[in-house]
Amino acid sequence: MVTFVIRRVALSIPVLLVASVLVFLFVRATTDPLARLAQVNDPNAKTRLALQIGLQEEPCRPVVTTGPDGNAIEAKTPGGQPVLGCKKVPVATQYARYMGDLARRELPASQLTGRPVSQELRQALGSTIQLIFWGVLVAAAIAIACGVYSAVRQYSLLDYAFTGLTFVALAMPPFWFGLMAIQFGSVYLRDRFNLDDPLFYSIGIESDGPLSYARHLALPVATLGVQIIASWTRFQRSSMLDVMNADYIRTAKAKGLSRAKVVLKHGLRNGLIPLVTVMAIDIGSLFGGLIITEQIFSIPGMGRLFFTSLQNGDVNVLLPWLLLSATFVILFNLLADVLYGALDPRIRVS
Amino acid sequence: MAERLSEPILSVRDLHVSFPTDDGAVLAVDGVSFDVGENEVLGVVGESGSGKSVTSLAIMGLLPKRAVVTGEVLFRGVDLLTLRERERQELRGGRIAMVFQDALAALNPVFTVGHQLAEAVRAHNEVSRQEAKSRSVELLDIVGIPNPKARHDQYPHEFSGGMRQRAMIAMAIANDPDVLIADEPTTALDVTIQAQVLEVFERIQERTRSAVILITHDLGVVAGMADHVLVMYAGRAVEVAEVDDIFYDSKHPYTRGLLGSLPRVDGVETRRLVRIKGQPPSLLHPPPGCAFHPRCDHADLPGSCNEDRPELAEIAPGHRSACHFAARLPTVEAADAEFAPLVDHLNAGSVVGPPSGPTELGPVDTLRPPGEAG
Ligand SMILES: Nc1ncnc2c1ncn2[C@@H]1O[C@H](COP(=O)(O)OP(=O)(O)O)[C@@H](O)[C@H]1O
Ligand SMILES: [Mg+2]
Repeated sequence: MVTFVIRRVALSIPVLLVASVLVFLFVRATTDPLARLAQVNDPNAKTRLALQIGLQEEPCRPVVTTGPDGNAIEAKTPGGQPVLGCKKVPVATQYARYMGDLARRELPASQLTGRPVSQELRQALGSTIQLIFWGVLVAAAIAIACGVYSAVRQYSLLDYAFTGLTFVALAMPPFWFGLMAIQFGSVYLRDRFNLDDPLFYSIGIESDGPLSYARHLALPVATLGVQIIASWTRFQRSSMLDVMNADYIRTAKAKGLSRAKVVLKHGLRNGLIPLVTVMAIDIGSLFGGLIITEQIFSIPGMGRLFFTSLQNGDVNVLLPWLLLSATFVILFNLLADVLYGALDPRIRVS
Repeated sequence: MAERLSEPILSVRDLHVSFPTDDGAVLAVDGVSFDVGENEVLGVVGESGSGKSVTSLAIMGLLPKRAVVTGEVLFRGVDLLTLRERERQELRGGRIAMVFQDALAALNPVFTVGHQLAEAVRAHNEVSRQEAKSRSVELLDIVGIPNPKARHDQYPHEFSGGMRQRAMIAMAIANDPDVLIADEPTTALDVTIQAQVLEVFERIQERTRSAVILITHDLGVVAGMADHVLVMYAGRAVEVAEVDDIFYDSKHPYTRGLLGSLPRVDGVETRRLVRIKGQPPSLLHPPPGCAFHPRCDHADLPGSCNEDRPELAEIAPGHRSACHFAARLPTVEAADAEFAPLVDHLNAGSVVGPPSGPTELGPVDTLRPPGEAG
């Protein structure tokens, strides 16, 4: 088992490196970090930013242009200073230096807030992790229960009901569901029952006490949970159906075990293996994937941070944000592999 | 089964099992009856699809809910089909246990073999985990698994095929069952391993004196172990007799066909090595009359064989056959003699095993009862 884990970890390191190269190239190719200075009068402002970000490096020389009479003249800023031009840094070098800075934890600060990006990311991650934690907990519980029930009582009334509901849920866009949830959970219920406060809050997750925490989280958790519940329920149903037709289930019955033990021990223990790995993979993509939900409910999480940084061309935040999201995806894929090995003894050995 | 020493432990009476499908009911078992007594081995043989597994699952109460089961399954005089699920569950794995064909699939991959054994023990006994464990180590020892203590904590995939099947047997005998059903216990195994597993079976059976139903499509397996044999075809019992009568004095053309496809290992090839021609019939639309008539060399067509369904009738003490011509079939020796030249020819050539050519090799008429020849 230990060598198995070590091998998987070793395998994911090159993946992480390739991902970081791609993210870096992608960001450099698609965003112009200097564009936001287009309106600034001082031509040296761009150069200073380029130096700060590492697009250019010393030595810098005054920019010389050709005047109307064909003579070389030095370009001047409106303030009369010489306009400076510095040496361009090749992208490969930029990448290497950026990774060095990252390792030394010396990344350039957010251009928008001026705060260190590590601080920005840590705060955003805190909110997002709370969302993911509760969302996954609720979704897993509901999906496993419904999936197992549907499989054991295939073609029963409730099985059909669950199937219908999952398709409705999969068809609902999260932004629409989120807005409906606010309309009903916050606005309608308050007006209907003449409450002072909305029953469920629709802004942020700042709270005092567990009850208020629950009232803040209910709607965003429902919004992010609806689709995951639906897809996990379908998944659990089909894996459980497979398992319940397996020979070893018949053996378990032939031993004289109770139905509960047959289904919940022999069935579920096997039927959960595929779901757990799918869950790990899905969770990995949630860290960067809650942009709409966080936007609707004004939650200062990863998704919202990405959205604001993108709007403001804050490359200093975008780049580490993308690296962090990619890392989570890779990390949770790794976790999926390891869990699969831990849950299925046949994988462990081979 | 004329002189029975003991009362039967298990009696199956007129068992019918059908599966409703969109195209109609599939009659998988059609009026099967038999008895097994203490320390007795009943061999059940037939081609695949003849209803052997469905019969055993009906006894265990493990058929899917949609299966329609009628008749009686009497265990010590109590009809299991009338019991409630809770009561059947108590018998299952306790008094009546079953060994399945494919042990790799039949063992749960995520639990250790020992855990699954101990579970069987604890399902029917109020014992501690520790006691169940020592009992399951003992069981592994009984079925001849070397180093049972270490093997106890291994997973099924770490066992070889033969050892897995031994573990299945250990699981089935965990509670000293009165009835042990083995559904093709050696089919998935190599010939040498087969022999070892069968040996374990024999040893166990001597020890527990349980009534055994040994299901197989291989008459060779039955020869060494069974006391009586029930031959099934298309869901019906077509011949029931003591094992020697099946091998040396079979009164049904289908049984003879099965015997014919049995390669002899003693080198004395006196029988034709031929397969039964054609395919097993559809259970959805079984042929009229005798279900075997389209494949039978002796059939009288058109005539009684495709018009009247032959009932299982006693033709000698303890020997029953469902064939209109049962009493008039030539003796097995006569039939063998008829094929001796062919067998010589096969033995002389390089052909080993059943020939792949046409299977209706003999002049059919000579096999007919005298006077019937056309
Ligand atoms: N669950 C089921 N649903 C429908 N038909 C079945 C089912 N189980 C078995 N059968 C049918 O019953 C017949 C007998 O099957 P079986 O008892 O497994 O044969 P075998 O003699 O090879 O063990 C087959 O034709 C099979 O198609
Ligand atoms: Mg079978």
